[in-house]
Amino acid sequence: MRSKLVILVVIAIICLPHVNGESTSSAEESEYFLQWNIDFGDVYVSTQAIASEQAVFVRTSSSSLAQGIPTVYSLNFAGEELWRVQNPNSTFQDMTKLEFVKSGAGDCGSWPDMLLVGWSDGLFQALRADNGAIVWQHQTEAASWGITGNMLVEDESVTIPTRKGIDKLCLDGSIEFTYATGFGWRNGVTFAGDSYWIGDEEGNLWSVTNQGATKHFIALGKIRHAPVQLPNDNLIIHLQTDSGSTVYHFNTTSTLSSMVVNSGYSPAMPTTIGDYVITADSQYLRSISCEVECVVRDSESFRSNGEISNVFGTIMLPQNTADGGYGQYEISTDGELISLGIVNYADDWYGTAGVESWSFSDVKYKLLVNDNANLKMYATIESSNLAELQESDWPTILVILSALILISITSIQLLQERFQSAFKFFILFMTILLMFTFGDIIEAWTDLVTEDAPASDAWNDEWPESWLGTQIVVFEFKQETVVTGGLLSNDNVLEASLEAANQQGLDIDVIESNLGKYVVSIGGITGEGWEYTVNGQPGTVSAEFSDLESDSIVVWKQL
Amino acid sequence: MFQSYGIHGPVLGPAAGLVIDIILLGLAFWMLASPDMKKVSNILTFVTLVASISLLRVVMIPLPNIQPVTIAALIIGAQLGARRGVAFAVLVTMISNFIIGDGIWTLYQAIGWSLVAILGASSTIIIDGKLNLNKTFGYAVLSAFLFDFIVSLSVLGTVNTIGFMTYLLNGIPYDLLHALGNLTITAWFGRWFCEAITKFQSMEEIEQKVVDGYVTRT
Repeated sequence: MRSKLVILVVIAIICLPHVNGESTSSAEESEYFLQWNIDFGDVYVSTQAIASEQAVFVRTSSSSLAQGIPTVYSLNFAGEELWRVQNPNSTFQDMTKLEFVKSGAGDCGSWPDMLLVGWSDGLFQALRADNGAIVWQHQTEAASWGITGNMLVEDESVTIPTRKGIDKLCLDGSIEFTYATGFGWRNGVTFAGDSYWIGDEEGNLWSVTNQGATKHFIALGKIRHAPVQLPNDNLIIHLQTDSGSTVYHFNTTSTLSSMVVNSGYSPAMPTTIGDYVITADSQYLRSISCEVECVVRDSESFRSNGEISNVFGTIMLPQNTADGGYGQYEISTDGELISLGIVNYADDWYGTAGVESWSFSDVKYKLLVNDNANLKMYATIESSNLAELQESDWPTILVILSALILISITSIQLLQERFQSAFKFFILFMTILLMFTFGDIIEAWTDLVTEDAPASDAWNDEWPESWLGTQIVVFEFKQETVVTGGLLSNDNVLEASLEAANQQGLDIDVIESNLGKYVVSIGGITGEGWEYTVNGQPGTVSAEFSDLESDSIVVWKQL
Repeated sequence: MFQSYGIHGPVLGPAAGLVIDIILLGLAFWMLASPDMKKVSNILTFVTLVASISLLRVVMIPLPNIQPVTIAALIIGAQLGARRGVAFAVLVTMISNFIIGDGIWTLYQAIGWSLVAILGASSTIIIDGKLNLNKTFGYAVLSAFLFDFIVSLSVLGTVNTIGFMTYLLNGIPYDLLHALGNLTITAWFGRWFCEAITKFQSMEEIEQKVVDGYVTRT
């Protein structure tokens, strides 16, 4: 009897879903409930996590591989990992905020939904937001470190603060300009007037256009954050000095600067909330009005050295002390800072990362993360209710329900010593389980047993060089061959083929079969069937299960 | 495993396809040309069996590599003998592929299931009309791998040895699912299916006795 109970327990453990995160709320704010909490280990997080409509993205950072590999994670709203991208070379403290870009097209090309990542080894990557595949990447110069400042994303471009300058790229990865400025660190980019503005470690502010870069000396010190653009296109700069910091107003027309206020060490990233510029440092949180001239409206003693966030109209900024937590302030119409107190959490520690916030279906959400690399999601709804709000996947629910029923019956049969009957239910359970996970199993298995051939094996020298490093799809009809190149980051053969066919105005008929999707005809031609190769190697699984690299060459041949 | 949609077997022209169909049909009827199959009731029952399993195969196409024909061929081979087992395998393959899709694979599938039927006939999974489940489970797993291997042979000639080995390796999850499906079908329907065939045979024997008795009296 005891052995049967052990079997039952083992089965129950196998079937129990792995629950990640805490189930109880520890939030001080009564209206918010903890949804989940993920500890990324010994690494730290110093930039704000961000959310798109589909996922949450966060980056971890480290100063040595022993501490952990710098990683960008994508999570779903239940806190489950969707994908991760690592860069073991980027161990110089990654502090560039991630940026999400919606798919689009412009004069210089098209792009999918992307996550833009600047690494401290100088690498800049555009990753597919849905799977982390590299859409394109751009290597910038590194001198001790590479990209550490915040990028600026505009409609069709991204401007990157590199270690020694500034690069502007179209969102399809093509370079618009690259100019040298001064050495920078954590120096973000702002656009105001007709120029991009960026500071350096010698107190210079640089204006950059597609004609070149011009230096404007502000004062001895370091400009380490993106200047704040004012409504009149002038700028506010929080310059770090040896004795603390100074806030300057910079007139972009006359290129003259004027001091606003001296303040504390290690400035936070200044920002605009309502009509006021908000600055912070190791001593003060300030509100500055620049209606006529820039003057300080209010100051509060607070230590914050990172990102300042506007969370549903409330200023939230991480307290960069061992006590941690987040200072909360409201700002009145006349610029007065009204303290709402400090919100503390169980895992509080030093922190510089801001707070991501959004609302959906009348539910407010917050993402909090600190140097301890504990990412927490809070929402104004209890976690059990949140699951109900999320899109229901009925087939999955039904399969899980069936599996639970079957395994329960198996257990009952075992208890009643009806082993043959128990086996019947157990084998049915296993079959359903395998069938339900079959697609994933096939993909993983194929990756394991198939040795990828290099794309060069299938490269045709007659193709344009601009197709190098991109995905190429060839349709070999009996009468003609249609080639499509320059495709980016399709996950599998079928996806790439559909995109290529779409570009060529061809229809691909696909049917569902018991072994995956099956291409019946291309361009209306069925022939004796179609077979594909990837980099010259015959496909061995359904096209939907055959994964592609970013430079794979797919050839469909009419039989 | 063959229908993994990357590699195709040799392409068949219409004439070659027709020849294969004729050969398969000829084989099926030759196998059926035994004395007991001259009775209309036997033929009708056999046709019903073939039609229902063919239909079941077509209906179960959305389920990845779940093949009810394998277990049916195994049990029919064991219960009705190798000749009728092979005839059943060939006819079911041809009829169901007529709906699902015909090609060179029909030949290999027919061979594969015929071998499963012969395997069943040479086994002792049915003794005194009763299915030995434990033995059948073993044969069910073996049949899945045997059938999938035979069907995989169809790509020979279009790939080299390494390519064939890779193809076989890629097919292992499909083989496992086939085996698991066979176990499930055996566990749930094996005895019922076996009894259904046994009853048919018993009725036949009774009928034969009645007819023999009538002839003797007259």
